[in-house]
Amino acid sequence: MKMKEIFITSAFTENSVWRQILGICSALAVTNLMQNSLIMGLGVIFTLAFANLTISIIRNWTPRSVRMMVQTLIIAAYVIIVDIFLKANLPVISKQLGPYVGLIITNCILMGRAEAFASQNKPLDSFIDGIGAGVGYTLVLLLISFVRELFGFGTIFGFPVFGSWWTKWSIMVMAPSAFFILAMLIWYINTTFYKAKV
Amino acid sequence: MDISAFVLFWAAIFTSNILLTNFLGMCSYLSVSREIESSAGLGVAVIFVLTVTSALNWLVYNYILLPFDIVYLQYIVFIIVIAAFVQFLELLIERYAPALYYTLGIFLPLITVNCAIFGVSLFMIIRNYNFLQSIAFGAGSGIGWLLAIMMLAGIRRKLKEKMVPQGLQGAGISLIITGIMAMGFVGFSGIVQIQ
Amino acid sequence: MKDSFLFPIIFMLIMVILFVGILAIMYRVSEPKIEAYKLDSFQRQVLALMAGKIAEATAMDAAQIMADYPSSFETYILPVELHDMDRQAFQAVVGDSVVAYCFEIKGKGLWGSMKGLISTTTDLKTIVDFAIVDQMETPGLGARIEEDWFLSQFRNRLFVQAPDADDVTKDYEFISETQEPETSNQLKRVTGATITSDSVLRMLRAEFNLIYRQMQGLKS
Repeated sequence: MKMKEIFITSAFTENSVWRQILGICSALAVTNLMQNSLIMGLGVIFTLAFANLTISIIRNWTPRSVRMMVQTLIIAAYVIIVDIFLKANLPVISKQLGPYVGLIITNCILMGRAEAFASQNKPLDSFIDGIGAGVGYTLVLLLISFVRELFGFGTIFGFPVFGSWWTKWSIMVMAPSAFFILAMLIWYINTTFYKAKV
Repeated sequence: MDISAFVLFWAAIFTSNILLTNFLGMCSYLSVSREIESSAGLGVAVIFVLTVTSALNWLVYNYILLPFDIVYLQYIVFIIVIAAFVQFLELLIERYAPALYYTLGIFLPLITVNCAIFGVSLFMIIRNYNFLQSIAFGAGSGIGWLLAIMMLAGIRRKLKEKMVPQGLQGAGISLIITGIMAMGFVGFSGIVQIQ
Repeated sequence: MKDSFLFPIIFMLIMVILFVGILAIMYRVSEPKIEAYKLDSFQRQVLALMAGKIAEATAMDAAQIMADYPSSFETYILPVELHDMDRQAFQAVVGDSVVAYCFEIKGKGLWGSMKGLISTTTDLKTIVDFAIVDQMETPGLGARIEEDWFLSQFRNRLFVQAPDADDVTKDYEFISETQEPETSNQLKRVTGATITSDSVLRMLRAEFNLIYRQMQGLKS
């Protein structure tokens, strides 16, 4: 039961993106296609879960003075693992994501979860928390990219939804649309689930 | 023909603003922009750290990572260079300019996790810049970041007396403003061709 | 012990060695796979650019030739040695005669270097096909030079007009993306990406000059 609570809390009720506005930096740029978002999300879930686990395991031996450096090191190491994996097995996607895989390192969610949860909790709980936060994050990415890909390219996961009559909205392909969609999403969630007045 | 460092500098500020087109450095951008003074402080710190770390990381990449064939470790090395430099800077300012430390010092830890700093280092490697270009790109991106955060902070101050739907307050409305700013910056695309 | 001066340093060192070790092993294991993929996709692109010409000469279908990769690559494509240039070059040979050439070309865009592949006719004067292999341009703006409408403009275009002049290439100019070309030397540019579009043309012209001279030297 407790595991489930941890998962729900970090994935939904305290979702890093819409509650704490963390981690949008490295992600919005890849939300133009759903496939990129999904891969990026999976990368974040993997990194978050294992970085949390590792940080939690060594939390009692970590000296305070180098705590941040050690956490960054661990996160960076897992991100490189993701990067090497993508390069070897999914080279096309790896090329499309480009530097944004590396930018997972500076995704504030990773440091946030490491500081707020993993450095104070048991390994297994931290692992679950990592997965939860990652799933919540991926969800947001997919929602945004769903809108952007649908209107920007007329496709979903690359499959054409609208016919050739569809005029592509180039604004959806460009940067500004991501800001608007995320703002709308936050607005909707705040009013529906957190009882904010419209 | 090489892209001149000068063009790159302007392009990094306007046409490809690191924040408005690459979405880098959003976290501290959204949280700090509540106050104009803090925004200016953080912005200046970002310019300085960006310029120096892009130079440092360029040197590290070309004279350590490439010769030893350990390019795959670049992420770790870059982030450690940035973290170490910020830590060093913090010590230095605390020791020799305590007054500056009280205004700028609190922002320094924020900078290590500012995606813009790390992003610029990655971009300059991927785009194959030479040393001068990297510094120009770093400085330009820093100024672009300062510009974006100052603009948002100014608008948000005006917005304090205005009615904003409760669910949109804070991050929501900031994102919408950022979106409109980003659209405005798309209009700058023509600028670079003059040079 | 946790508060001593040395412990943090030793701790940090152990962590670095541990993780760098893991990464090094992982990287060395995956390296051959990454390299193999790079070579594979490059060769495929070279073949694709010349498939049309090979198809003409062999009376096969271009799609069929692509489907037969890698055996078709080995059958038809041979490398060309360019002595003074750091570029890869290939020729498509059917029977005993060369049907097309393919060259790697390099240039600078707005943000960084770009690389392309062009295939030319055997007289080296006309572009058969053109592809951008690598570019760093702005997504949504300059990066649209990879789109087919832009690249297809260069297909079957005469590029070398004055073989004896200093600049052997034909003078092309860009017009707005929404206009239709009126004369044969007009090309449509990518909207909002003037520098990138110009860079593509500049790269093509500079490289054509080099390649044309080189190949004339090789032939004679």
